[in-house]
Amino acid sequence: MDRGALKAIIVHYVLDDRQYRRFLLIGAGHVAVAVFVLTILVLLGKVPALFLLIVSSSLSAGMGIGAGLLVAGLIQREKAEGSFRVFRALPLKTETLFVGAVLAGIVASIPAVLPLYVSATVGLLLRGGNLLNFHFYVGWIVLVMIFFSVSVSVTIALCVNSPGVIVNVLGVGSAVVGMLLSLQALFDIVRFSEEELFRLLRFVLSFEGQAVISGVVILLSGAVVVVGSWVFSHKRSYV
Amino acid sequence: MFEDAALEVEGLEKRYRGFSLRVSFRVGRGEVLGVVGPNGAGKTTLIYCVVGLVKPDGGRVRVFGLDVEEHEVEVKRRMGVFLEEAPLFRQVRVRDVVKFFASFYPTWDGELAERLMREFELEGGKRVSELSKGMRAKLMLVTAVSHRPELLLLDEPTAGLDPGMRREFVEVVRAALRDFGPGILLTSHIMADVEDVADRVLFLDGGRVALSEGKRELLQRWRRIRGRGEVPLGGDAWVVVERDPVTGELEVVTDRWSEALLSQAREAGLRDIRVFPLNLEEIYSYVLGVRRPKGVDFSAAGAKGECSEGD
Repeated sequence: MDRGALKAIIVHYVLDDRQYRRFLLIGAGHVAVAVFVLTILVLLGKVPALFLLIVSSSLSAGMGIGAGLLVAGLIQREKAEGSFRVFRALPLKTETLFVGAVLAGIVASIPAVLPLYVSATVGLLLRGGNLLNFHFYVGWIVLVMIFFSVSVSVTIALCVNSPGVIVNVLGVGSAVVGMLLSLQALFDIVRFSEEELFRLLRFVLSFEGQAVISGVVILLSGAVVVVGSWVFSHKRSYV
Repeated sequence: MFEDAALEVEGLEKRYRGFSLRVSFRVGRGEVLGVVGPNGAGKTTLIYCVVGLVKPDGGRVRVFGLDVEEHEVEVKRRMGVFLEEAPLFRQVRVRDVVKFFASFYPTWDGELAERLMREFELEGGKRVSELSKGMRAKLMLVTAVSHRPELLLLDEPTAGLDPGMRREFVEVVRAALRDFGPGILLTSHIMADVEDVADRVLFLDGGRVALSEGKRELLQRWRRIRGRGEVPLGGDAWVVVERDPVTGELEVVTDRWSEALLSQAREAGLRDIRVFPLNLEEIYSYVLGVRRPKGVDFSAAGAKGECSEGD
């Protein structure tokens, strides 16, 4: 893989394009300030530490996923205006372009998440208590979620030329999930006892559970990237 | 001259619903091939197939003897591309666009890029979206030639530009030819530009090559002849025969001009003969236009007699 080309693609989406810079400065910047204020309030004892953990983790997930979606949006915008065609004229393998765009999505999510995570970590560290380990757990989950989300969103943006198709994919996906949930609620197809649910929850929160779940999600993300890269490389048209 | 092929296209096929492209041609090193044709003739599809924007359904494309699909990176490093329908990244600053392109080409000539930007009065701090169409075309030209490519693909580079900018553009292409002599594949609607720079012309019509010939030979064998009298020879020598209803003067157009043809016309009684050369646009209109009569073979092989210097 051409590292210079990968770097150029990442710089293009993360630094050169002003949409991401705006998102980082205005969106992520505001959220970082809000979490920083919340951290101060936690340190002053005005707000419970758990509140900081929940809010910072939720916002981290939101900003990280949002950054990936933004890169996917930039790719779709370039496709709509035609400038994405320039990439195919460059001395660049389709696989390199694909991996570069996915990496750009991942790199883009880091500055959006890092200030929130660092701020919450410092707050929880200084406040003391036993939430710090849980914070690291949640941080890892958020990271894995972001990786998965970026892989999926950037893959769809690269492989699909029409935004209409993306809307249809999301619409059909939501409809299927909604239908399954409705079927479960109506007919109670899969039954869990309270004890089983607690056991599941304990497993999810255990180190082994974390390892299994994150391993599965990382594998899924990897599979999405590999399949996406193959589909992208074998497209009949990039126009 | 032009013996080594910069670009070889063999039986290239691309099929769409209601349209198919099927072409073969070659562009020699240092040669300029102008591809002209009406809208929908397949000019842009042809360039897209060469660049890899669309995958052909058949045929082969080789650049400097290398298959484009197999040696994509190596081939594209030696290639410069200008795509009219691929505007550069609108939200990015001019200097960042240039820097972005530079990072892909080991042979990038930063001084050449700087010089061209100065000559074109391109401001590095401006965003692409703030540039006029002409300035965007100039920026795209900077990105296409600054690595001194050995093959240049120019798709409708002067479309929508004013005459001054078109002139500048042609000058840059000429300078590139003098400086590093790339093979050039140029598609355009603007015949004057093709006539200015092309060594050979390929007329594309409905996805097929209607004519491919050296520009000089093409311009030499087409003439308009005016005179008084009757149509001098059998119909196969004349592409168009018209009579001016006011003056009664006869006007014939031939695609197989020679001094011998002129002598025959004189001998047949055509008087007050005046011979006019045709420009590429006129030839184009006769080859592809509505005035083309059925059954006339326009290819050089179909031409009778030797071509001579025009009047």
